[in-house]
Amino acid sequence: MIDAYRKHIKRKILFNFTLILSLLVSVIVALRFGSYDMSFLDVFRALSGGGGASGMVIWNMRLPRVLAALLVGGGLALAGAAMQTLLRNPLASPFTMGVSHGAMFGASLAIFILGSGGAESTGRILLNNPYSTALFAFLGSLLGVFVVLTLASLRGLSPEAMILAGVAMSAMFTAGTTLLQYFADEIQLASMVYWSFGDLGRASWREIGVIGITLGTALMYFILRSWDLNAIESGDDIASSLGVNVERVRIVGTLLASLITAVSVAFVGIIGFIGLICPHMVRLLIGSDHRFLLPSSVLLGALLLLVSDTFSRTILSPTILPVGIITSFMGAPLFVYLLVRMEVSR
Amino acid sequence: MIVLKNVEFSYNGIPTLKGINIEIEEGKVVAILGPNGAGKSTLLKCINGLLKPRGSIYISGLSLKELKPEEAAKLIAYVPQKSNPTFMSVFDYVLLGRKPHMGLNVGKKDMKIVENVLRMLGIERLALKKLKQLSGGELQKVVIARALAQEAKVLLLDEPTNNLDLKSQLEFMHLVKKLSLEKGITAVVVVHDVNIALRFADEFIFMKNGEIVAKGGHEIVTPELISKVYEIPVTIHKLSGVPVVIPV
Repeated sequence: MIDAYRKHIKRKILFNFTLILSLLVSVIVALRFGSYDMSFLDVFRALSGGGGASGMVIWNMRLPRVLAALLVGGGLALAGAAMQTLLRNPLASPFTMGVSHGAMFGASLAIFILGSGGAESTGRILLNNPYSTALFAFLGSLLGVFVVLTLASLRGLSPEAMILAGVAMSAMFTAGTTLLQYFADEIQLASMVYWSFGDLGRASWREIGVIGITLGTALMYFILRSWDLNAIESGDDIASSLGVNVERVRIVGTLLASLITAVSVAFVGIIGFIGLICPHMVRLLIGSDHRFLLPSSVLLGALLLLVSDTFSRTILSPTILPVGIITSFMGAPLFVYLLVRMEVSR
Repeated sequence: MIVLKNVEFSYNGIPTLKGINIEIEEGKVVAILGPNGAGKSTLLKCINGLLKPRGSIYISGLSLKELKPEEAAKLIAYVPQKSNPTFMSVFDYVLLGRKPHMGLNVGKKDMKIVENVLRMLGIERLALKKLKQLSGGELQKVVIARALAQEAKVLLLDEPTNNLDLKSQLEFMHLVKKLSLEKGITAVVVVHDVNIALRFADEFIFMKNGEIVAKGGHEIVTPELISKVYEIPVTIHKLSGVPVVIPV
């Protein structure tokens, strides 16, 4: 029986290796394609330090973008997987605590009062003060999280109540955003809407560093706590009786998950779908043991966002489509396919 | 041995346990009986440390208040009223019982213990199935397997035979009895069915309105007591040597 179990575990490890391999291939492909034409040889030459113009394109444009896709995709999927378990709800996502609506409100506020949006003479919308917009978005996204988590720790809110409180916060932020939009002029309005389309091109090396450190910290915490999460999935009472401090894990975990989400959203905007769906795909494929669910979700999220972003850059090149459109268009059918196939074989 | 001294507990200011004093010997099957809302589940959660009551509770001479959660988990295993079947595999779920004993890595010893428990309960064929795929009776066995893998000397079971068919109910209680006889495990079981309790328990604790009405061996189970606790007239007959409570 132990041998059969080991085999069962090996399958999950193999799944992760497959994901890593696919990631490597996707990274090379993503670096190769874009509006500036180059060969695979140019890519390798640039990565090893040479390559002139293609080196500039790789190091200043494509590599940051690829890394942003990997970190944001992985981070959102990790946040989603953790939230779904911690809040015991399959519909929980990185945005359940009101992160995206809070960020939207913060960014809109920055555009409205600081005038951090603008338009070029060609009519193209710009964010001419991206740092203040990002900072406001970050603060906005964490505001709701802090309200809900403070209530949860003081009043011992149940997961259901936490979700509802998150919904209430989202509604308030949406109302705030609508109010700002109502009084905004058309350029401000356009900037607000433009901000809300997630764009991985906004991240430069410094932002990538911040996202990377946040993701690394959160991933470490969740991996170390993966047995606690397994226990919590079986029910709070069981987890407590096994010695897990359920309330603390729930609050710290929700905070970390929201933090990764807030950092990603502040720097690259709102990218939906990945955080909600990737963890479910992994659950369908290899089950819900968090020792494997968490790393696999990170890898799959990274892969899905990178592939989507590469498509969004190349299908209508030189126009770059908002990546959120592609993630949903590609991910939704794939997910429904998996869902139907797995539910049937169950 | 489990000792409770003056245990009191209130939910939102409403007292649900009042002045509870109990001593439970090692290796016994003890049934907690009483009408809905008597405080049976609350009592079980207090013994488990899930709730923090006033008064003192000692498990094998150790004060529950001074034990760290993971130390308490090595002494007491708990099976709540409802277990939600997830997509976790049976082996992984039973392995959860090793949580108080292991770190992130699963050792060979832990896997061996899980294997032995599954063998003992005769459910090794279920090892790689998902909890969702199990029948009610199978799930209940897996749940108790998880508690056994914890290797605690005290087993707290909250209405474990609910939602089981007659055969599974009897099988399950036989199992509990066998564990107490062969492994010296103390089982404290909240039961609704008085007749199941009469068949399998060594001792009885009758509760009503947060208080203990009576406690002791088979001799205390009289028609008068049952009538008083459940507020219905009953008689007790012996059928094939087993006492049976019949409402009249």
